[in-house]
Amino acid sequence: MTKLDGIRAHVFRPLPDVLRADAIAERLTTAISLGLLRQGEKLPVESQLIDMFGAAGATVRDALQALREEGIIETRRGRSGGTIVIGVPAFDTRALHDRLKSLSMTELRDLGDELAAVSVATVRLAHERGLPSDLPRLTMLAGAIVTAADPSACSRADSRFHIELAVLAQSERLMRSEIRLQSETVELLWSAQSVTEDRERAAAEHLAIAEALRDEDEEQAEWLVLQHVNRNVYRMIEAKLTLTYPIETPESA
Amino acid sequence: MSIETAAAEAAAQIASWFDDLFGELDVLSSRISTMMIEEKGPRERFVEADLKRVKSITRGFLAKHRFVEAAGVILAPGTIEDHRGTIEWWRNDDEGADGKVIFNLAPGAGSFYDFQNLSWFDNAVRTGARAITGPHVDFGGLDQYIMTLTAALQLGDGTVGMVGCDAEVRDIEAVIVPILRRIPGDAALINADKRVVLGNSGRFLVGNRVRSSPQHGGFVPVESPSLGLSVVYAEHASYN
Repeated sequence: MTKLDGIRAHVFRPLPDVLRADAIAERLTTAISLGLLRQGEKLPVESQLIDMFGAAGATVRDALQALREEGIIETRRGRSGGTIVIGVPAFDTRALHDRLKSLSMTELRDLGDELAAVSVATVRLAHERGLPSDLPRLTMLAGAIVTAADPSACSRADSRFHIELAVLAQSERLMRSEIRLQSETVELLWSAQSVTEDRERAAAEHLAIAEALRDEDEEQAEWLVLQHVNRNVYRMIEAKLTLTYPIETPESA
Repeated sequence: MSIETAAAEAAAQIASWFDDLFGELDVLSSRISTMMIEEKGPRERFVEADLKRVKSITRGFLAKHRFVEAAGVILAPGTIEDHRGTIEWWRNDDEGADGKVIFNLAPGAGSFYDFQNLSWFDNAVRTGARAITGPHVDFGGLDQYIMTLTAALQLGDGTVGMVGCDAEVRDIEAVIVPILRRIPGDAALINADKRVVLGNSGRFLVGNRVRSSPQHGGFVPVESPSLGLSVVYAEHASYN
């Protein structure tokens, strides 16, 4: 039996809402794109997955089949067999836009509220517990997004910086919360942003947060993180509105 | 007994516990290096297959130390592959050495474990000395709140390696806290960065930094070579 600890066990938590193969496939896909489940890693066996997701066998099998078809997982037979992660999911802008459309304004605002609560608490603890010697690495991760070539790379670099803040905070729980929130939001955000224009802005905001921590300016760091989160939520809400309720312009009328 | 004397006694007990554990790591290290050099034979450099007996050797160590979460070998880039390092790390279970820990060594991925850029790797490689890293949240590795103990792995001329083990802070607690509880005051074991590893009261919380010497108290070193540990102690102060 594959042993799953900490945040990886979290990936397999039971689904709270409609039990659908899509939802399972999506959860696994996000976990793999964020690197929570790594290439070469074996997924739990089918009976375990059925248990953990609280889903029917057919549903789990459908989800796995979808991932198999996308070349993300592979099932091998034999003694060292099992279902193994073999690829990284493609960034699916259309699916992300569908998800943005399906989220209500209230849900997006609420997601923003939780992001803000976790991020501000995290940066406060990062200030308290981080060491000066941790900061060059944080700065490196803060700026890494400028070289990200596509929305997928932007998402990874973006979430990596936020997770690092939780690492500096020395808190496994905050790290888990941050990972869960990043997995729910970061790709949605980058499906709504332009790589060339927005990666510079994201890097500048990340670097400003790192700098405030270096200056031991707790208030500034908290304020910058809050602004950063608010701006991202604003972007997602704008994108959602444009997608769901397009304004009829004279040309399109 | 004065707080200071009790703190010094606790420091000595903690030192001897770590000395014993590092002694075992040294044994693990010499067994692994003998095995690897034997596997390599006349070949110029190591290959992945030279590590195949790491699991069985590590198993003995893991079975003996139930509180250890995982253990194994880390090799610098250039030892096996030119541009990336190698980690062979095994989780502990009832029989010892359960599953191999999968580290993400591909730079493009989200949880890329760029261990050669982590300060503990750098320190250990530079000094070749015993080292304790953490407590730290090991994102991309075990993803748990752990301490990592490392010792040099001698593989011949200029070949860099380490053996090490990870222990969860909550599992070390059962060993360290009873020792600290004998100190009649507030006390904590702190690492070289003056970060609390474990404390005997709510005053010194795990992971917090002790930025200055406490009033009516001080520090006593834990005399275990190169670890940089110490015990901070002070007259008991209640929360207000």
